[in-house]
Amino acid sequence: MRGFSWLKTPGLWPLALVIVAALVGPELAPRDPLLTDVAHALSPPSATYWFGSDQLGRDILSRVLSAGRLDLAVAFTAVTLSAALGATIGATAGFLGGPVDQILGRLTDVLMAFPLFIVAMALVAVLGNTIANVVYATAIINLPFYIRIARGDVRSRRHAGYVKAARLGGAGEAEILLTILLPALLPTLVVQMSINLGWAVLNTAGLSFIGLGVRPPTPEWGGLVSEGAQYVLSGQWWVAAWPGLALTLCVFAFSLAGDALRDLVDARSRG
Amino acid sequence: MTAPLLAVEDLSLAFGAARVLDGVSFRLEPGETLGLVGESGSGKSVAALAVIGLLDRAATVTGGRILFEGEDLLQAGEARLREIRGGRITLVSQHPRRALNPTRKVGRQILDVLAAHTRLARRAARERTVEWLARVGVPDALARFDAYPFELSGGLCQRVTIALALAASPSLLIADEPTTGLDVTTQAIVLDLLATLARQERLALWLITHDLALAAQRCNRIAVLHAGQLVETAPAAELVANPRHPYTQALIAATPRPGLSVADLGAVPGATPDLTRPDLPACRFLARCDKAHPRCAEQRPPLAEIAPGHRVACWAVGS
Amino acid sequence: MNASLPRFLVSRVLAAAPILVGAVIVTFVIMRVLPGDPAALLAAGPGSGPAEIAALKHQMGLDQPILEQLARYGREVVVGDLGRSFTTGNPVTTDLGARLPASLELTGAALLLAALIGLPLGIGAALRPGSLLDQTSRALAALGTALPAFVTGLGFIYLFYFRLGWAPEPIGQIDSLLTPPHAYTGLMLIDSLLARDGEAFLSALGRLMLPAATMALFALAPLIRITRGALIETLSADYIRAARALGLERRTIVVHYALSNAATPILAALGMVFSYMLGANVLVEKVFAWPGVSAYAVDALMSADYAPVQGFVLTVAALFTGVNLAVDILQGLVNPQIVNGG
Repeated sequence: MRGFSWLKTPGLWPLALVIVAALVGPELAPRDPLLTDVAHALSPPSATYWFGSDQLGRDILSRVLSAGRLDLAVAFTAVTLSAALGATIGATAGFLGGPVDQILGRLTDVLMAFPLFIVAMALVAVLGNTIANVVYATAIINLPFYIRIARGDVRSRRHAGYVKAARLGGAGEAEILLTILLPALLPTLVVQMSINLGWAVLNTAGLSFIGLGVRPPTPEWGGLVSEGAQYVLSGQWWVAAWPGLALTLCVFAFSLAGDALRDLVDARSRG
Repeated sequence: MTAPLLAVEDLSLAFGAARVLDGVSFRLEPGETLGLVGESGSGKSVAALAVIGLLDRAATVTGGRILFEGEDLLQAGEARLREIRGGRITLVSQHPRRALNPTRKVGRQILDVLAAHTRLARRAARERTVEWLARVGVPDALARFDAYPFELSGGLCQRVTIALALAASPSLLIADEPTTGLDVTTQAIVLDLLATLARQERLALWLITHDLALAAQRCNRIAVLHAGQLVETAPAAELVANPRHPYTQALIAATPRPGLSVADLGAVPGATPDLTRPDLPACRFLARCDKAHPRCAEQRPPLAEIAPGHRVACWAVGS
Repeated sequence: MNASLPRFLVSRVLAAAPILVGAVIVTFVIMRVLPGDPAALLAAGPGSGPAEIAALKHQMGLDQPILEQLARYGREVVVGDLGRSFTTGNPVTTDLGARLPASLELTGAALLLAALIGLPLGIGAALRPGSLLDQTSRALAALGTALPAFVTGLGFIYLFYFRLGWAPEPIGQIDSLLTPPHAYTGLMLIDSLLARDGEAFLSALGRLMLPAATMALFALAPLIRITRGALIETLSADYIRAARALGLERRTIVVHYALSNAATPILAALGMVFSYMLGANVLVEKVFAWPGVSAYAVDALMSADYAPVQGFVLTVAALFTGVNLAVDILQGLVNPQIVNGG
């Protein structure tokens, strides 16, 4: 990208770190995340087990790294699906205008305020307790954000000068939508996506925490915290703490990145 | 000579790099109506804010004094200034509707002013409020006590802001473009109201406006401000009959009058200079002036009295 | 002015109705129309044979056209028939009714806590921009957004229960060895006060603290941010400048001029925060084994008992609508312009 420099945007560094850790981490993990060793169950962090071991003697560090990859993969897939579908729906509605557009607008406004985690819960419950369904459910509950952005953007650009010029030049309505309006959405979409990624990760983790979606022994941050929850009462904090920390840092990294991207996009659009 | 009510002496003020006021001096006698006239950006509103101490945080006073009844307001603490604002000096701004709290009944807002500046008991305060509403010409004042601003017309809102300003019986009212946003008939009514109340209350009125004709009609004296510099001051009739400063003359030529067609109107040439430039000439009108001397760039012409009560700051006006 | 208040109230209530209707339709769609043969899941429970499922389908009217099913479902909801839970054996409505007060107590306490801390912080930050207070509030807000509710909950348990020993065992609403007070309202704190049972009250209070604090932390972030933003914007209004020019007392300006106008967006923020908390409630009730409706739904879900889940979603929708309605009405009371469409 013209003028874009990784060095100059520190807001993106934590995210880069997270992504690198997710991609490469599991390869570097000291042990097989599924390997049990009951003799060394619940041992605190030490030189052998950097993050300690869980109730079945599995290395928590390896499990956390492995879970990172899964969580991020789920989040990215869900958000990309959501953005693509939501932007298309929103852009089309905003472009066509009329009562459909109005109703869609009201609907998304109400939906955005609703506690969508509960909708995700219900969806996964009904569709079946699989990772794929978690992805779909997450994608569905994030649709309103993209619909609203796309709709707002297209509605304001619908009557812009260059759109009229394109029409005069003989371009069809569909063509205008696809070639001019949708691409113009990309920067705002990307900003929203990076913020949503954090929520998607939280959502997935939350679902696993209550037992939906990713199930043991597959490591997933929420599931790891859930497994570790009962041991916190007896003081073995490390089983739940490390995945919880990883989760928090990941979400934080996404929100920092989102802010940095938003500043970047704003600066660009201004001048 | 009686002591002036307000004496602004050599006031200079800057907003960062922009030197917004440069050595402005004028006085206001008790009961007098002064018109401060200038284009937008001339610094006239800023002068008013400086007097009541409500300048933006970014503004710095770089020199001068503001004497009100002998007291230098620039040295006064915030507590003292709060007493003075609304109690001794009061400000009425443009956009009357916006100046009113949308969630509070207008009567209660006037009571707030009375509570801040007087010791009236509740019933007496209520009576005084209704009295004032009636005096500013709000029909059915007793009922209107309970009205919210959104229930009132623009003209009524303006009357209410005047009532708010005068409720605590101040001695100086500053009206900053009080006719903006009002239709011509309402403008006349509001100005008449101000004049009447000023007379009844022995109030000094400081009218800030870009409209020279309005100032000529309504004021005893006029002071003309250009780019932060006071260039001429004279009794109203004298100023209109005998403008001496090139800027004043251009302003008058540009003022619509019956009998003049639009084509006959002159325009003031050029534009207000950029006040952030470090290389501003000593007389800031230089670039727009057709009587410029080399001296005008080097040395600021002082406000010199050329006729009784008539002062001009211009090297081209001989004494 | 007060003549239009009743009309305002009615219009607000009418506006809320479509949301409830929408929620009924959505739960219907999710539970009955989506693939996964919900008939089998909903009523029969695991281990039923095909013949039983077919019989049950007919009995439940699931072989009727969709719209008829929707109408039937709608009627059932209105009457209060939300099905039966096969894990508890009770009608869902009864179960929900028994457990709702616990959830409300928790969420209500959390909202109160969040408001008591967040509103002053947001207001203080707006009145003193750039100060230490401002920066602390913003840091707190940033923290609250990133921390997942269940992580905070566990963190609190570790710190306050295990390490410091201040908090009681985080299982349930009241010490299991104590007899809970008579359920006048269902709200443990109020009931124990009404029964003059000091021990029960203290026990309940102790157990309420950590889960309420967890949820409150979660809600704190948006609340501080919006309050601060709303007040800053209000403070830049013309009427504030005019009020200062009139020399009004600072206290009057802050309370009657600034806050009364900022109240409108702040109320909206409280409503929004309540909705967030409904979501976080699910996680917190699980962490603290709180006997509320969310825990009920999650337990049912794990046992493939779907009627409670459906009822739960409807309950959340009803709460959501109720809160929005309350916010609308409160805004109307605070800001007369809203009532008169001015």
